[in-house]
Amino acid sequence: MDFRKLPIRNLVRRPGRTATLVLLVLLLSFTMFGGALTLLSIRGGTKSLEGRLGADVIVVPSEMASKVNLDNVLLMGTTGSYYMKADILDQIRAVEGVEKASAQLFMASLRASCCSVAVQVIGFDPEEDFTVQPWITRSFKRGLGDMEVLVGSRVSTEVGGNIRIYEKDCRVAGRLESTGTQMDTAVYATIDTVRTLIKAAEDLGHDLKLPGDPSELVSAVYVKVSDGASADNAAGYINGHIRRTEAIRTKNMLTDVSDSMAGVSFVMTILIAAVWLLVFFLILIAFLMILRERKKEFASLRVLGASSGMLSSMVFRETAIISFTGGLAGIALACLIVFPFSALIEKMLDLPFLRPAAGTIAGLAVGTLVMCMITGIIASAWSAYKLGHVDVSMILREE
Amino acid sequence: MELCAQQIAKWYHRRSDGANRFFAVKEMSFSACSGTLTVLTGRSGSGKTTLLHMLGTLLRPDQGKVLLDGRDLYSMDDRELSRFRNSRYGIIPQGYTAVRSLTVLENILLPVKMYGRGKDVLSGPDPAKQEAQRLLLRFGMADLSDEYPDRLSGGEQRRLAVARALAGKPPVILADEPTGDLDDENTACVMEELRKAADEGAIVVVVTHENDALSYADYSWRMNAGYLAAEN
Repeated sequence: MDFRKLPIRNLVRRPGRTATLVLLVLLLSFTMFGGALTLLSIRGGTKSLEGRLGADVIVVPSEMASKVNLDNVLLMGTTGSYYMKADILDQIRAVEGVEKASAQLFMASLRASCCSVAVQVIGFDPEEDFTVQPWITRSFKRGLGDMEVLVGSRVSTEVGGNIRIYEKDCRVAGRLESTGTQMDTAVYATIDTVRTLIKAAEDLGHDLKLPGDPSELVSAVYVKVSDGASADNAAGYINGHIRRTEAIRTKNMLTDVSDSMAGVSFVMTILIAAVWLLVFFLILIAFLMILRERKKEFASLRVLGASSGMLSSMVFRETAIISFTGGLAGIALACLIVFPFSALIEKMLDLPFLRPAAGTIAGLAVGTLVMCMITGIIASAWSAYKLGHVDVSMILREE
Repeated sequence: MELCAQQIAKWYHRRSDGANRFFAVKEMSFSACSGTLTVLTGRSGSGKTTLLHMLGTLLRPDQGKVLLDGRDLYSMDDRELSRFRNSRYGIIPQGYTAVRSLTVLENILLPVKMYGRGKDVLSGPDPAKQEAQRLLLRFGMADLSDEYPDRLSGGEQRRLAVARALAGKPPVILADEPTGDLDDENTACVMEELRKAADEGAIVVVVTHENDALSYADYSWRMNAGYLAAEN
C-alpha cells in the first residue's frame, strides 16, 4: 500500500460520503457545462441566422402578419403556408431605395402516405434570390434543377436519393449546413418546383386555400435596400402604398431574437452562479462536518510520521479525485441531455440552437473540469489546513 | 543510542487557575538507553502521556530539549521531524488509531511504506512483512490480516497498534497503555514482544497502570503531579 494511494482507498472505503460529494460536484459541472453549452449554441445559432439573413425588409400578406408569428416562420423555419399575388414583387421593386427584391414560395408537406417527410418546402427564384443561395452555395456549388431539392441538415434523407412530396419524387441534390433552427428540417427547391408540388397537392385533393393560380402566387418578398437608402422608409412606403401587405424590418426581428437570447443568458448566468455558490457551501459544510470525524485518523498518521504537508496534500488529492469524477460525470450527463434533445431545447426556448465546434466543446469541458477542481480545492482548503495541523497530542487524549 | 530529555517542562494556562500556569510536566530530566525497557507508572493526570508525547516528538516542550543521540529533535522543521519520527520511532498511542481504509496488514506496514521504504513489502519476501506476519501470529490475529479495523474488537485494535509500532524494528519504541484493553494472556504476549525489542537493542519506554509490566522493566519511574521519581 503506497501512501500516495491512500486518498483513493479513503474514498472507496467511505462510499456514502464519496458519492454525496461526487453528486454535488456533478450538479455543479452539469449546470456549468450544460448552461454554457446551451448559451454558446444559442449564440452560434443567432450568429448564423444574422449572417444568413441578407434582407433588410420582408414583405408578407398582411392577414398572415397578424395570424402567425412571422419571426418563427421567416427566421426559424417553422412550418407555415401563406400566399399573396406575385405582381406585388414588381410594385416592391419600383419603390424608391429598393435595390433587390426576391420572392419565395412556401408550402408544407404532410406527415402522410403521399409524403416521405413532413417538411416546410421553401421555393426561391435562382435568378433573383440573394438570401438563400449565398448560404446554399457554401454546401452546393451548382444550380438547382427542376424537381431537385436541397435538404436541411436534420432531414434524414441520403444525398442522391429521392423524397416523395405529394406523390412527386424529388431528387436530393445536396445537404445544407446546420443553422440551429427549424430551417435544418426544411427542403429548398426552385420556386417552379414548389409550384409543381402545390399543383400536385391540389390534384390529390388537398385544399391549400390558395387565393389564385399557383404560378401567380408568392409567400414572401425579401427586400434589400441600396446603400444610403433607409430600410425604415422603404418598409413604411410599402406598408402605406401596397395593399394587403405587411413590410417588416428584419433588424426588428433579430432584435427580438437578441433580446430573448439576452434574457436566456441572464437567467442561465444567474442559475450557474447560484448553483456554484450552493455547491461551494455544501462542499465546505461537508468537509467541515467530516473534519471532526477525521481528526483522530490524521493524528494517527502524524504519529506514524506523516508531515502536515503530506496530510494537507492527501485532503487535496481526495478533493481533486472527487471533483474530477463529479465534473466528468456532470459533463457526460449534460452531453447526453443537451445533444440528443437540442431540437426540443430550441423549441422550448424559441431560439436558434447551433452546436459549437468540437474544439469549442472540448475547451468548455476542460474549463468546466478546471472550475470544478478549483471549487473543490477552495472549499476543502480550510479543512485541509486544519487536518494537516492537528494537535496530535490533544487529539490522541480525546477518547 | 540514548534518548534524553534535558530539563523539559510542559505547562498550560487554565482560567480556573487564574493567570497561573498549570504544569502538566514540571521541570525534569530523563534518559533511556538502547537495550533497555523503562516503565513509567503514575495516577491518571500525573503527566505520563505528556512526557511520552514530548519524548516522541509529538508535543513540543515549553522548556528544555529532547535529544536522540545528541540531536535536538525539536530544532528540526515539521517535514524533517516527521520523516525522522517515521524512521526512528515506533509509537503506540492510546485508543484506537488504525487507519480505517486499510486492512490490518496494510496498517501494520504503513509506517514502513510511508516514505517508500520497502517498496515491495506486500509483493515479495521482506523483513518487515515477515515480521508483521510473525507478530500477527504471535498476537493470535493471523487470520485477520485482510480484515478492516472496523471489524476488530478493542483488544485486537490495541494489538494491531503494537504490531504496527514493532514491525519496522525502529530504534525507539514508545508505548502508551499498550495493554489497556487486553486480557492477561495477551498482556503477557505484548510485554514479551516489547521486552524482545529492547533485548534486540531498541529503547523501549512504556507508560502503564499495570503493575505486572514492572516485571519486564529494566528501570521504572513513577510520575506524580508532573514530577518524575525513580522507583528502581
